[in-house]
Order: sequence, then structure tokens, then C-alpha cells
Amino acid sequence: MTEPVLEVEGLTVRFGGVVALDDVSFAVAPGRIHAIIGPNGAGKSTCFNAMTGLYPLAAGSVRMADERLDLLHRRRIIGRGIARTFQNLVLPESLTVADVLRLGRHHRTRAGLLATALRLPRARGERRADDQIVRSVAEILGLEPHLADPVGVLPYGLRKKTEIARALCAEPTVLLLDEPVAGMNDAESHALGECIRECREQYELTVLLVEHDMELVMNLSDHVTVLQSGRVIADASPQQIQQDPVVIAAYLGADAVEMREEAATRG
Amino acid sequence: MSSPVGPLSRGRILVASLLVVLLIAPYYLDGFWLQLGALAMAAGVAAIGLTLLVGVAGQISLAHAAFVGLGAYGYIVLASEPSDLAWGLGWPPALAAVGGIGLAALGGLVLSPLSGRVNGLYLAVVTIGLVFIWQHVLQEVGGLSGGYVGRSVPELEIFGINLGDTEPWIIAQVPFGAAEKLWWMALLVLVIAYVTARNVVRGRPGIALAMVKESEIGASALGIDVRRGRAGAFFLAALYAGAAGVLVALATQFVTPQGFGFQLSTDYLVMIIIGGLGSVRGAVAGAVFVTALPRVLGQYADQLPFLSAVGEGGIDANVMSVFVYCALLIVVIMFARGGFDRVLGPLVGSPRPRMPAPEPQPVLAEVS
Amino acid sequence: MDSLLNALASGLSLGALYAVMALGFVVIYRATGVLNFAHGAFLLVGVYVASIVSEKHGYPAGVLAGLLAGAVVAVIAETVFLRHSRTQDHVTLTILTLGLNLLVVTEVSRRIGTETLPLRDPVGNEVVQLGAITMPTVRLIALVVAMVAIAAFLLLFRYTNWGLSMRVSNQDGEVAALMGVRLSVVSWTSWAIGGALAVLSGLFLASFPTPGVTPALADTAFRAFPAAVIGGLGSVGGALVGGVMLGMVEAFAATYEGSLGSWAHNLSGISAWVLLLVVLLLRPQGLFSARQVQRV
Repeated sequence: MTEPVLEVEGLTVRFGGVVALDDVSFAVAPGRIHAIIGPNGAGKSTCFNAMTGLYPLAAGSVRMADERLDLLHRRRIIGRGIARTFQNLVLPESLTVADVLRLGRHHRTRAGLLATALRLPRARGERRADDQIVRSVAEILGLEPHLADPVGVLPYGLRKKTEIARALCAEPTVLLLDEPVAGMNDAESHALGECIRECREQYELTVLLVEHDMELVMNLSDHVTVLQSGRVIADASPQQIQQDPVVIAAYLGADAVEMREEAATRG
Repeated sequence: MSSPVGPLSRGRILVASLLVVLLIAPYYLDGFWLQLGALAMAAGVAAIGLTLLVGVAGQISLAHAAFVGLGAYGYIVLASEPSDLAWGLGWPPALAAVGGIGLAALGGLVLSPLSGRVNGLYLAVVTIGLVFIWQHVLQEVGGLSGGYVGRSVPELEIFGINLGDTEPWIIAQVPFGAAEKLWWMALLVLVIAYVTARNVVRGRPGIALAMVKESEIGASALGIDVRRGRAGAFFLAALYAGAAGVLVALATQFVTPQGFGFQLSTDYLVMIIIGGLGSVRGAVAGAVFVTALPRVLGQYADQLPFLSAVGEGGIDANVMSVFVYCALLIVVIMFARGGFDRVLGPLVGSPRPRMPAPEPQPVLAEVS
Repeated sequence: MDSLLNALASGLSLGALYAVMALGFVVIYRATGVLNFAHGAFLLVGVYVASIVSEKHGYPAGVLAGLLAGAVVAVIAETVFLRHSRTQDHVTLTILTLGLNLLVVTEVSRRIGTETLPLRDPVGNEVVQLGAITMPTVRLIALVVAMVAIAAFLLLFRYTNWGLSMRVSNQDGEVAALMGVRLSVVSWTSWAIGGALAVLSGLFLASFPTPGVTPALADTAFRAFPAAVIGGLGSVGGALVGGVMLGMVEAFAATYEGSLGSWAHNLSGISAWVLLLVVLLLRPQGLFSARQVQRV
């Protein structure tokens, strides 16, 4: 495999006495759509949150091109080219879609209080440049007709798209999507999946996503990492994962590690 | 992005007409209305600052009156001639005004690292402490405030143009004294405050603050420096408050410590709530309403049958005003009506997006 | 030495009263998650009613009426106003309590007027001697009553269903709801208790230092804020500790401010707030609260 764009090694996260992530390691290849899946409580979102600096690591590291992301303050993550969405959607209700998308541009711009208050040329110039990017991203995601609407009035599907669009406006190299199709029906999921693929082409992204929707994952991803109870139980292509008895058992409730050990002693 | 409607929209005509009316008003108005106007506009400036802090950035602050007071007393102390009874530095008044505003802004900056360490509700309590401590200092330090008696406010002079009564301007054979000049001064400051605040709210800092209010984690994920953002909000609020303080001092011409305490802070909060939290024009409308109501009612109390005179124990102008705006506050909050801004919006036709009433969510779920 | 002991006694008594007040405040916070700015209103209404009723029916009746009145006003505030508000975020609800406070205090102040209404407590200006300590009898009674009230509260808190619901709720409505707790009941009873506690402390605060009911009493309720925050907002034990600390600092400031210089005049008035700033600077989460990890 070529040099991975993102490398997670030995990631361990504890909440009090509970081990949420236990020695999780995987690598994300550039330009791939890489999915993290697993039964409920497997630690998928925890993994995302740990990678983006929301939880302190008990052990392990997150690397991007030789730099340790886990040593950075969490607001520096986006500056390294990693933009994420949140499962719960953090959208200020009263802002318009356009404003929300502009938030994605925040880390690329510098106009401060004074420049904005007085509408100095620097602020106006940045605004113009931002608006162009906002418009083009909105177009790709089908949000253009809604740019002037307050986010609060939009239906759920469009709000999810807004969340993703905001991340794209940040011009990331890696896009982290936290359950992008949660709450959507088949048609919507499929459409969004296509959209994600298009974005990957258009923006030359690497996409890392956490998902429950198996169909989307199998159709969309190039590589899958499976978690159960905070541990990696499989890390392979979608086809291999589909046929892996350990993975199947995990989803049906058996303990994957136990199963592996049993299989090893038997054969 | 500016309004999608053209330059001669109804909204803009309305605003322009309003400005024209306000400009020529001093020609017609008497002292009572001129002072009221100046005070209302000053309150508007302060309210704009507070709505930025509370409405946009989501911080509760009860210390606003202290920053207004810092501006007022800063100006007074810097501009007054030194004497035995009270402090004074004898600066040129224009510089003193800037100094007063600067002091207030500095106060805001001092508060901001605190806001980084201490969370929202605790911070609110800290601000209560600050305003009480400020009140105490004002009352105890006679050199600063002139004690209970109070002290007078030096006239403002900018680049040799006197803004007091000593050199009236003669326009169209009508003398314009301090009251009129102050009206225009306040109007100018209000317009500047309004435009700059609007720019901030709609621009990069404003949306960043809205994000911080929504979710600090989400904001960090977007690269927003939460502490600096909050510090900036406090700084800005204090800056506006300081400017308002200078105006208030000039409008009343004599200040006492009682005027800059917890009660005033509460008044400002009421203004921004009934104006519509987070709305700049709502803040101004709320400020005008809360400032004008008690004074207007008081002025016409003898002609209003349901009001008694002040101090008689019945429902006087002040008590009635409190009833009215508390009722408005309760209605606005309980029915999520968006305050004056909701009314002004369709009137002025501005791009402030219309929000649906939020889903009523019970704080505590009913489970039997 | 005498003045030190007296200051200690005074501080303990005052501290107990502040603890009671802070307790009421924290109970309300745990139930609804708001800073109750209307605490002063509850206090003032209760004390006012006590004064009015005691005129015709004697002090004990007045006290009962006052406690009831405070509780009722508190319950009305919660059930009529806060619960039905469409905006439910804590900032706005807190400002709602501020508005309610202003409304009620303005009206009651208007009725009280400029006179000082008497409370007609049977003890009056009597003084009691305990060894080297001389203290007004009222203060001693205040201390005893406050301790009884606190003990009663703690018993309720630990051993009743209500207390259990309170401990579980801690503003996490979902958890409580999942456990089948009737949150609406917890809610109004908490406010009732909060209101009654405010009145209880108010009744004694109206007996000393200056006896009688004046509108300024409402402002003393604000002392509940720093007391509760110092201990860590939401912590019952913290409210008690915070209250006592506040009372001690204030009593000492009052005793010794005269000898500190002219700048210290009336220092006791703001000692509570200075203490708050000092504590929060050193420990931003309050003395007994844990820093919380945010989960997304």
C-alpha cells in the first residue's frame, strides 16, 4: 500500500474504569473511502472523537504525514486538513445555510473584529472568495436553492447535507463523516452515497466514515475496519468483511475474539 | 451578503426617513425630549453591546452597568479639573472620552480570561459580584464618585468645537445648545455602533460566536478559538458600554453612584430580551422602549388617571413601567416571540431570517 | 480575643442562615438547571406576609403563613411560568426568573413603602451569654433553627423517595425519566422547598442586624449565589460549606473592617463576592464539583 494519509496506532481510550477503545490500529490509504463499522457500542464514534482530539488518549497515537495529531489542541486538527461532521449535527439554528457553510472557511481566513466591524478591504476580499467556494460546494450537494434559508427550517436530510457541506468548505484532505446517512431512507442514502463519491473525485479527498448502514458501506467503501467492544476484529476489503465469519458473528452477538481463538485452536 | 432587494426597497426608505426625522428633530423638541432621546440612544449603544454578548455569544453578563459606569466615570475623572473633593486629571475632554471608553474596554478584556476558565452559569454569578463590587467602590470612594451626592460632568469639546452650552450654535437663527448637540452626537455614535455591530454579527466573528454558543466542541472542530472568541465578545460589549457611559454622563450632566448598579444591568437585559435576543435593531428598539416608558409616563402622570405620583405608594410611573416591561419580557420568553425584532423585520424587510417557533421541549419529561 | 469569639459565633450563625438560603437555591438548580434570580422575591414575599399575618394572629402564625407564601410563589413561578415557556435553554430561563423577580419585588416593595414593617418576633433585642461570648438571642435561635432545618433536609434527601429523585435528577432529565421518576412532582416540590428555605433564612435575617422588613431584604438573597457557587453549583454539601464560609468571612469583615482603614468601610457588604472571586480563581469549578468530560 502506498504511504497512508492517516495512521492510527494502539489507540486506547478509558472513561473511568471502562475501556472504550483497546489498542485500535488501522491505516487510511489516500484517496480511499474507508469505513469503520461495528455493532452498537463498538466504539466507532469514540474512535472518531479520540482521533480528533475530543478525548484524551490513554495510549496510542494518531499520525498524519509524520505529525502526531494526538499531541495537538483539538482546534488545530482542521488546520492539518481534517474536517469532520458530527452525528448529532451541530448547526446553529438561526444561521442561514450560507453562513453555516462559511463557518467551514473560518480556519482559512483571518479577518478579525476590527476588520469585520469596519468592513475593511481584507474582510471584504475574504468574504468574496469565501462566497465563491460556498456556492460551488452548495451546488455539488444540491443546497444552492437553500442558501438563504435559516438552517432551522430545513428538513433533516438537507441539514445533514449542510453539515457535510460545511466540512467540505474547509478544503480538507481528509473528510471524517460521522454516520452520514443516519435517519435517511434508502433513496436518500443512496443519493448521498453517490454524492460522497462525487465529492471524493471532485476534491481529491480521502474519506473516513463511521456507519451502521451496511448497504451503503458495502457499495461505497474501498476498505473497512470492523470494531467490537473497542477492539479491531477485522480490517479488509468490503467483500472479505462480508464473508468473514468473525464479523458476522459479532453482529449476531458472539464475542469475536473468543471466536477467533476457538477457530485457531480447532484448525 | 446584503439584502436581496434593490436599493430603493421599502425598508431602506423607512430607515432613511427615520434618520432624516432624527436629524431635524432637535429643531422642534424641547429639553425633556432632547434629554430623553440622548439617553435612549445611549442605552441603545449599550444594549447593542449586550446583545452581542448574550444573544450572539450566549454568555450571561450582569456586569454591563459596571462597564457603562467605567466609561462614564472614566470620562468624568479624566476630564475634570483636579480638586480636593474629587479626582480629576484635567485632560482635554475629547481625549478623556476616548480614555473612558478605553477603560471600559480594558475592563472587558480583564473579564475575558475569567470567562475562559469559568463556565457559563458560574460566570454569570461572577458578573453579579463584579457589579456589586463596582457599586461598592463607587459609593465608598468619594474621590471617584463624589459619594452619595454625586458629581458633575465636564462639557465635551472635540477639536475646539464645544459641545456644551457655553457656545451655542446658531442654525437658521435658532440657538442650538448642549442638549441638541448631544442629541446629534448620540445619534452619530448610535449609527456607528449599529453599523459596526451589524457587520460583526453577519461577518466572520459573528457566525463564529454563534457556533461557539451552539457547541464549543463543534466550534473547535472548525478551528475556532473558543477562548479568544469569548474574550472578543466581552471586549466588544464593554467597548460599546463604555461609549454609552460617556453619552449617559453627558446627557445627565450630573451622576450619582446609584445610577450604575445592578438595577441598570437588569434593565439592559430586559431591553435585549424584549427587543429580541441577538438582534441589533431589536436591542435599539428595546432600549428606546425601556428608557422612554418610565420617563414619558412620569412626565404625563397627572394626565393619566391610573397613575399616582412618585412616592405616594400607589402605582406610579416607575412601577407601571416595570410591570409593563416585565410582562413583555415574560411574554417574549414564554412564547418565544422574538421580541420587537419580529415586528421590525417585516416592516423594514431586512434579510434577518424568519425563524419558526422552536419545538416546545419539556425540560423534564412526564413519566407516570 | 473576645471580639474573635464573638465574630466566630456571629459568623457561624450567619453562615448557617446563608447555608439554608444556598440550599434552597441549589435544590432549585438541581431541579430545573437555572440560576434562580427570583430567590429574593420568594424571600421578600414570605417575610412580608409573615409581617402582615403576625399583626393580627401573632408571630407563629405569621411564620407559618410566610413560609407557605414563599413556597406557593415559588411553585407558581415554576409551574405557571418556567415549565410552560417555549424557550427552554437555561440562559433564557434564568433571565425569566430575573424578570419575575423584578416584577414581584417591585410590587411588594411598593406595598412596604418607605417604612420598616415589624416582624413582632418574641425575642426582640434580648442578649444571651455563653461563656465569653455575648450574642443576641435571635442569632442563637437562628443557628439552632437553621441546623434543624438543614438536618431535616438532609434526612429527606437521603431517605425519602423525593430525595432519591432529587439525587438522580441532577438536571439529567433523561436518566431520571428512564428510571420512572415523576419529574414534574420533583420539580414543583423542589421549588416549594427552595422558596420555603429562602423565607426561613429571610425571617431571621430580618431580625438582625436591623430588625424589620424592608425592600432591601430581597437583595440579601443574592448572597445565595456565591455561597452555592463556591461550594460547587449543584452540590448540596457544597451549598452548606459555601454558606458557612460566606457567613464567617462576612462576620469577620464586619468585626474587623473598622481597624483596617477607611478603604475597608462596609467591606462586609461585598465580602461574599470577593470570596467568590478568590475561590473561583483558584478552583474554577467550585470546591466540590468535579470537572466534567463532555461527551458528543
